[in-house]
Amino acid sequence: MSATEDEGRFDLPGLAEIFGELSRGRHICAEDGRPYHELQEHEAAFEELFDRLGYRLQADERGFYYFQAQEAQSVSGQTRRSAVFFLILVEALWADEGGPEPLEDLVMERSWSIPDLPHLGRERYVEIMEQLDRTPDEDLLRDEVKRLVRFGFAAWNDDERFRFRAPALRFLDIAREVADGLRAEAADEAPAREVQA
Amino acid sequence: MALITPQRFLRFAAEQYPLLRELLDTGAVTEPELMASIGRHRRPADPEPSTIRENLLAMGFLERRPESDGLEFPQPLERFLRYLHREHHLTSASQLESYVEDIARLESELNTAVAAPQSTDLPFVLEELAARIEEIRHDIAGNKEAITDAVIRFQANPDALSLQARYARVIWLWERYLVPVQELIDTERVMEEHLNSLDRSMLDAEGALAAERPDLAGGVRENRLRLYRMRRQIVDDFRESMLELQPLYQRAMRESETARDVSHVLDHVRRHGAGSLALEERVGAPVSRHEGLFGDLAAKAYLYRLADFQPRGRVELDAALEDGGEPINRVDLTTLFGELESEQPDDALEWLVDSLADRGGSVRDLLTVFGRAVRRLETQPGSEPRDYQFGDYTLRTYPRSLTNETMETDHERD
Repeated sequence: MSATEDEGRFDLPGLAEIFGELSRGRHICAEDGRPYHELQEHEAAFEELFDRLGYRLQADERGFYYFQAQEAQSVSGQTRRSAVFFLILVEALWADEGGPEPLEDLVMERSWSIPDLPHLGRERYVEIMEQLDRTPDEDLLRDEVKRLVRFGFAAWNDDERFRFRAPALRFLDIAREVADGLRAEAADEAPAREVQA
Repeated sequence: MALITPQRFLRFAAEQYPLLRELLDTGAVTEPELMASIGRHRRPADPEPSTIRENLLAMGFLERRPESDGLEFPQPLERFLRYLHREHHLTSASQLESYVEDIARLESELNTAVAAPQSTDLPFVLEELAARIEEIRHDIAGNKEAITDAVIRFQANPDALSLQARYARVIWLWERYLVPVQELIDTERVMEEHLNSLDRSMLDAEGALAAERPDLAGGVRENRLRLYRMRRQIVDDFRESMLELQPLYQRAMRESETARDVSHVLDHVRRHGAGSLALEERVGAPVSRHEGLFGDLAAKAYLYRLADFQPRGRVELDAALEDGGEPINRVDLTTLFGELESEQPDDALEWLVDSLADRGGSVRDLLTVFGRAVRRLETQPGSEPRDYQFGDYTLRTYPRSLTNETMETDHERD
């Protein structure tokens, strides 16, 4: 690499905006326009620069970018509620809603207003939400949606309706990962119980 | 009552087609429901509703349900009407297996009849054999059509069923109808053995009968050709059904597993909370700890390039200190802020005063970290202000205690 090329290596377009968004936990996807396209075009350079700054840039093949906090970095505890909020919606859609398949399209091609949400309508979901927070109400749900929007998992269509963006599919990956872990734990515990019995 | 001829039956069916279609879709009906349906479809020139009702029963379009006042289509008629509508019924693998057992029995009877020249059974055996072969062919073709219908209905979803219900049907069709048929046509399985054996018996019978009873030899040959057609069609229908259903089945299995995983996680949260699942670590969204200025970033990027620089001469820092230089005490404010956040003291400023005094920090460091804490962390102010002594400085403010909740940066607030 020549000296001139080397100096221009980190002179990346939209760097300040992109870094600002990613480092606050936001996920950037195609519908964000320019930042996404800059990341896509200069992915290797962004990745290297962020790596040197102590951030790990993840490029998801479903079309989005985000920072995955490294061990020493603090993570936002609020995304726990975002994940559970999303999973409740997926479970309700799966069991109750007609619509396109597969499941991912069913979730991604719909929009909701806060009163439409199933979170307050069933005891099971209210109990789950209570485990994370207080008894849910519409204000709490609105806050959850705002949080999802802030992290780039969702977007408002207008003042009252929101929809999910591609990065929300990460919650399904996480559910699979967690469920695998729970099954493995249960399998480990079963022989121990047998021995005790 | 007038004689019910096939022509009269079919004419009535043609005239009352919309009514019959509705009844076919409805399934069983009560008397009042039937009269309501008749009323909806009756045209001015039609007979009285009671006459239409009587004709439906007299011609056998409807019969009474057992132990109930309801009425329903007799099964042969329902199948006939559904056949006309290309709405095919599914035949179970156990039904197909019973046909195969029948074929084995008929093969044995065929061999017995051919071996006994005086036997008059052969035409009846051939007739029954033809019927059984055609039944298998039509039923498996019906299964293929029913599976095609199911795939179309899956995609169009006219009944607005949930994804769970639609995928459940796909899995049921696959496991209940396709897998057993695959086992039936497997070349190493029993059905294939029976059909091969029947083919050989019919070839032998044809040869044995050719000279003395050519008419029966022709009947055997016709059955043999029916058998070939049936076997060819079973394989073709099975392949077609597989092609139709396999992609949906694979998706259904994958998606059902994902949905089960989601419910599993939610069950766990409901019973034990989410604490042990480390959901936030898995999402791994970093909390912003920087000021985020472009100039800083550019400078940082440039400095990182300097990391590759190899100095030519050695700089003796220790020697420089011995020459009278004084070490500069720098406090890592980011680390200090992190410690403050995890300590959660009842009085943030007091904790900072003590911590910075130990580390030799300046009043500027103290105010920087305290300011960050007020902006970024959830703090509760006390009711009365108090004084804090830090070196030569006396600071006066309301004490602030930390709670567990971390707030986002200003930029992140809604």
